Amino acid sequence: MARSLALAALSLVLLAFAQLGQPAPLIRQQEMRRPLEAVMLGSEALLADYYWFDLLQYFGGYRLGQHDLAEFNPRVERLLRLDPSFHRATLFAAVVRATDMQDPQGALRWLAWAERANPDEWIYPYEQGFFQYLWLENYQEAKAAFQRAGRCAGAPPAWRHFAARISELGGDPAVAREMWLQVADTAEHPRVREAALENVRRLEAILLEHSQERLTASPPSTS
Amino acid sequence: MRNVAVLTLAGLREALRDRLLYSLLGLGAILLCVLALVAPLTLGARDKTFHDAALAWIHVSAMLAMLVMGAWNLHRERERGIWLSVLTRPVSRQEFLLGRLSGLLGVLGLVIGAAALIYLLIGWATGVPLLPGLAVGLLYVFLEMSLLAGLVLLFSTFTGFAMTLFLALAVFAAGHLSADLLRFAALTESGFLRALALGAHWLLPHLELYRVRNSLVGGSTPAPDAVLAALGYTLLYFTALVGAAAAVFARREIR
Amino acid sequence: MTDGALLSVQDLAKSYRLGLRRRQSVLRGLSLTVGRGEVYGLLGRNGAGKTTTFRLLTGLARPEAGEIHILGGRPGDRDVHLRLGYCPENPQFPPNLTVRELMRFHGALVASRLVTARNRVDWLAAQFDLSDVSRREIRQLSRGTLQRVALALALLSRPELLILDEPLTALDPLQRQRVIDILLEQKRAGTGMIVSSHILTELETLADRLGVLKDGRIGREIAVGAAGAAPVAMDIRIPFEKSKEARLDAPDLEGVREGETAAFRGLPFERAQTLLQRWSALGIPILELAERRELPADEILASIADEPVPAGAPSRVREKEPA
Repeated sequence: MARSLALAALSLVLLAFAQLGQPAPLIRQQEMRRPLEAVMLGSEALLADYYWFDLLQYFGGYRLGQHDLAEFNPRVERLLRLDPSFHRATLFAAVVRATDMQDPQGALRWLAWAERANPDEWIYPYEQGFFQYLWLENYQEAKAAFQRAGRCAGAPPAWRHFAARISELGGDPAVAREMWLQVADTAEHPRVREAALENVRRLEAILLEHSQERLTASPPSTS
Repeated sequence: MRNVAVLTLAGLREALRDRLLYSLLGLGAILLCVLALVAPLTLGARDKTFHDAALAWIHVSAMLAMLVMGAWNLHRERERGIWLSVLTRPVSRQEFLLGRLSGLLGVLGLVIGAAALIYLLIGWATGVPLLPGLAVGLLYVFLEMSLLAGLVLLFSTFTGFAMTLFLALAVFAAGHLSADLLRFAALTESGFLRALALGAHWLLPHLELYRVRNSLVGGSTPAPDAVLAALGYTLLYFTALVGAAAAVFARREIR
Repeated sequence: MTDGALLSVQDLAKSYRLGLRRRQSVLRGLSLTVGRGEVYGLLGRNGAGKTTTFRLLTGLARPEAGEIHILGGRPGDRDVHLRLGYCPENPQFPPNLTVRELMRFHGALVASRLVTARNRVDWLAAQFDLSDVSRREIRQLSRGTLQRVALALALLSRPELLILDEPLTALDPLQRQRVIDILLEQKRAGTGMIVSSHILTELETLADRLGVLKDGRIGREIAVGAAGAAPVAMDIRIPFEKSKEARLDAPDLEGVREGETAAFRGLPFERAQTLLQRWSALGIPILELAERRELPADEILASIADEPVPAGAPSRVREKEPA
């Protein structure tokens, strides 16, 4: 009897250590899980795969003229809620929403949500850069997105190129010059370095021209 | 400990001749082959889909092995009196329990190992690249199912087969929803329900800890300290379950 | 504890819960002892508490009152279980193991008692005619074979005390006799036994004492005497038409006409043997032959059934002898 009680007491102590020693669970969503998702017991990604398959069939039906895209958004959102790291589905959905549904803002919201859910992934801010540039012509946001992508491990070096080009388009040749200098410093291929330095020289000329214009435009001194 | 080893080997030997084991693995192998064939329809998500399905199948196989084989074998031993001949040997109740548990864990390891081998073979045959961090993923499945084995053992010490199955599955499923219990506690206005939800949260195993399959397939492997934390948590909770089972079984009368 | 006793049980009490409030009392002060080389036969009706008693002796259950001293220790002690052999009623084993695997598994659990577990396993398999089925899985065995496996396992650790619950059930007559012979050998080697059985005649052969379990205690204890004790009297039945011829050499022989037969009861054993020889030579057919021993089996049966003891009833009936 004594041994049983001791075992039971030890079990309770161990249980307390186990439960209290563990940090609070990471709660990614504010809402409760849906029953079907809860039943998957950790294999939600498989259900997401099924939803992906279903989404493809739905989009195929739209392309064949069978129906419109009224149910596209809910289908995407249930998929992304289950598997926020399903980047292929996220990108596909964003492209469809921006093009076929002509809702680039909505597409960007999905990409931004995916970026929050996957802060170490370069692909989501990288794509946002393109969306901001191509659909919204929002150069400042596009540049910021590319710079965020550049801070993630594994980002392709081309992010600097895009950021530099967009800075120039956005009317900021000084920033563009700095970015091209970085490209030149980090380039491994001599041709890439040469092209980057060419852009640096071109932008320096533009900057010089701008400063000359400012000088000639300044009022004469009244001495 | 020698008795525990003898009991473990006997339990493993019995389990290896159980046809259910091979049915589980065979069905899964067929499923994976079919999936590999239809994978091109997933428009570039072939590898992800295959890995997701394979890991889910390994997870389910391990779960079924623990629930059905584990609970059923323990129940059959009790109901038919198979354990009488062993309990009248120089084997303590604790050794008997540990031997049964070790046998269960051995079966778990075999099921996971065999399923993983089938997965790798089919993946290799269909050109699916190896998943980095697969070993960690399998370890997490083993740790999670160890807790299920402990639950099955605990409930089988004082209930019958159906109840053991129901309770173990219920606690296991609820353990996966432990974060939802916290959310519920935050949302509800009833003090009683909040206390109940919090109490359940602190009693149930926090199986959210083992949800790494999604991120593994996404290319993200748990950090070493996270793996160590999972190991430590499993060890503590598992020992608590076994201790409770031993306490109940020590007092139990054998009819 | 009684000096030299392998097993001493004093005032054992045990009850079981039936539902939330009710309890059923099974044992109410059971006491018995078993000495070295002694066989104690435990008799009683179904549900009398024989199996419960064995569960208490083997540590599978705990008594509510009373004391059990077994092999110098208590039920459940590791050392006690090492020197104890137990054969449960209707034995069951893991269905997927073979006979050999099962015996070696148990051999590994008691290896400290054996010089070589494997040799002991092989020897017992031969003794109990299990060599031919050693590679068969348990689920493929008949009930009789399972019983022999259980008995072999009970003897595996060279036990000093055997607890056998219905050991002869499901055995055919030849196997039964073989098992009895093995148990008698164990007895001669000093192994004590407590055996329960519904087959009274086999218990008569084995047991030194019989205890009738009734109302939760040993209601009556009867000394059987040495196993295989000679019968003290015989009852013989012959065709009535031959009775006159049969009594030619024994005019004082008193018999009773029962239909077309004549019954001669209570004949002293040696005289009965002489008469049987003479009648056999005369060609007089023996229709029925029964031995009377010292064992008052009818008394036992009456004790179990709680009926008055009938007088003079035969304890065992042999089959009709060939002409």
